[in-house]
Amino acid sequence: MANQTCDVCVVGSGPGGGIAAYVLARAGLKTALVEAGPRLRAGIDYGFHKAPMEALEERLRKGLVSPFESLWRDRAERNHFTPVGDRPGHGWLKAVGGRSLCWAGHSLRFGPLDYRQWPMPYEEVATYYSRAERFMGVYGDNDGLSNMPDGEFLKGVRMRCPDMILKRGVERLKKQGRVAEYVSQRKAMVTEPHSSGRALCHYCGKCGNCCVDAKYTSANTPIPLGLRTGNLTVISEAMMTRILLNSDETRVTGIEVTRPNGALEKISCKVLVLACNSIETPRHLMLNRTRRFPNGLANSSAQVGRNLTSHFGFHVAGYFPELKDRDGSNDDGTGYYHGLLTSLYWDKPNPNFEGTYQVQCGSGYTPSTIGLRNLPGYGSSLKKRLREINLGHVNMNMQGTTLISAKKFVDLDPDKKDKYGLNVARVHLHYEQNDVNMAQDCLDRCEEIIRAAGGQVVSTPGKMSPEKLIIDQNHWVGTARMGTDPRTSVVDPFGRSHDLPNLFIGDASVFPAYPEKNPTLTNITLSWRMSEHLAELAKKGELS
Amino acid sequence: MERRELFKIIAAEAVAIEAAGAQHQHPATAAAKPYARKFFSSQQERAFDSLCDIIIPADSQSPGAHEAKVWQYIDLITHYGTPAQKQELTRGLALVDRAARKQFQKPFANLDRADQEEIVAAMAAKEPDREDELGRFFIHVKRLVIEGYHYSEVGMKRFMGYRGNTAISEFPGCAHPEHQS
Repeated sequence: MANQTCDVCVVGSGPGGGIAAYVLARAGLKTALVEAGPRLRAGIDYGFHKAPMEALEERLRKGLVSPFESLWRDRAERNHFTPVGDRPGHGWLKAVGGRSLCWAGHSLRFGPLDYRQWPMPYEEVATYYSRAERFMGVYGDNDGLSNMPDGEFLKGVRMRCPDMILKRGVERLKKQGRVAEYVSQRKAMVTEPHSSGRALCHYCGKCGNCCVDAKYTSANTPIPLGLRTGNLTVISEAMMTRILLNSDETRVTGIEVTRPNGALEKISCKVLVLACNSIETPRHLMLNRTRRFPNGLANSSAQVGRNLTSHFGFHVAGYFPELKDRDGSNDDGTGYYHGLLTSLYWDKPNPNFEGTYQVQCGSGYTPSTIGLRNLPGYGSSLKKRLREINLGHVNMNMQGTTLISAKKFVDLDPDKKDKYGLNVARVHLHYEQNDVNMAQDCLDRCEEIIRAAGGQVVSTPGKMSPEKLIIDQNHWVGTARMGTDPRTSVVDPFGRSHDLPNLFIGDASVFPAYPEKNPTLTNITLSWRMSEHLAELAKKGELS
Repeated sequence: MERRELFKIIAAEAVAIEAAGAQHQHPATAAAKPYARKFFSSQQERAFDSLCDIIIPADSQSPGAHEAKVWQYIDLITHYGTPAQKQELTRGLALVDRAARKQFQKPFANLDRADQEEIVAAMAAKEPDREDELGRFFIHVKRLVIEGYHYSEVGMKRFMGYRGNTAISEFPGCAHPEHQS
């Protein structure tokens, strides 16, 4: 068995693992970044600008159904787990950079109110948010909102006409006492020259497979910069298949990886950082059952796999007749979602449900975003209606947090195994009344805003029920939560295991509570903070 | 170590990106190659061409599905589609032909436009009836026509005026005074 040695081994090269590798290597630690997938290069392996009919046949021949390229739809694996209950979905992109290659770039800070449920206050994390934003290159506007703090932004990107009309509806309702704000999205894309040297965004809207690396990914910023330190080695196409411990099971000593040809290799390390994602990290911990840890590594609290939550929602579409003839000739922008409805139930919770939601608002015409395909009728009247809706529609996409409860968790499927002979994860999702109540409130408010803005509701899910709810496949968190009490949490507030002092977790599974905001910026921020802490401990000799 | 060397290349390329960024250009659409029919028979091709063009016709604003060659989109995705998708289209068209024969004693493809429009009007009348097979087929075809039309050059550029897929240095967005709140 081939053997490599390093100070820190980071497993998973997505948003959390990528930044950890950079921060650790820069701190002088010999770091190995282990990734199950191969390297994919923007503009070479993905990111092509082709007219749909030009791309279609080549794609159909490869078994892809849409004429539009999408790293997520084309390459992510989505059947590597067993779904239980209300249609839980999950996907991973096995590639250097992981799902940071295909994320939409939405970068919203969690706020002071959100951190009240965390073991540290917002103020303690704020400087890391600033560093992360500067490092990633995040565009946005400073909106002065109480619980979605301003940041260190590059030049913001304007909203489209339908967003501005929708905002008008929000402003009108605010005058009647409703609490809500409508603001521009904040995304990790460079809109002006940036220290990373990445190309400027050229507003082609294909952000899920950005062809010039204008969008931040682990593969285009932290990994190349980490390599420049001379302290980072990237080990791609290596799937972690075992975590190795010393004989008295007090420390991690390394991992075993399996190569595509089946060969096993050992990577010995002083410290292990897991950043595999919120389904895979608990799976790997649970797969490694030992004498000391019969329920899985670092699981004396029995919280590994528990406290699972993600974002969920639905779509409701509005149409503004006054925009039926507007110029929509170059709507691509930074993707469909340019607007965000936020500030709901921050200070004053809704008595009918716990938690809150935000609404991502999409608009604009591109060949891939056909407004509605199910309009009645045919002929010139259908054609006219299609054109009007393409130009004048807005699509409101709820993003709420599912209630954390005993009914939502990850465990191992006792029967089904992956190609390495390891049990796959089972993801249990059961919507509860709280989730349905929240969705119903969101739908009512969205429809109210569309109408207040002078629009018509043209597509609605109608009365809410669990069947109508859609889970976000990429936003799972919580399955190795942080806390100060080892009896009720898996890692400490820096991401260090309570049970194994040289095991850290650098992905979003450490989130102890989950607001409505997108997870990636906070994942990167926490992983940065964890990595600095780890490097400090290493410097003091506390890790070897 | 070979692998390590491979990844050093990334670092070098990150520098190259800096230089390349400003010059990024999107290639012009290649000239369309002549299309060779894949799934439809010649009669089915004519039938779908007419059916599509009645659903999305030419008008003063822009050309219709015939000029956009939407039938080719349907032919292509069906050719690469599942047996069930293939059967759905063949079976659906057979139903349309049956209606045409019943009313005009000819298959749909051989009718003149006015008669074809009568058949389509009858299909559309059944659209709200989810139990009616012809009504369901109408909805299915309409969905395909809408997609195929949007994906075509005619649909993108002449119907929607799309100038996208071009690199711009600043996103214009909405600055219309009448849209600001």
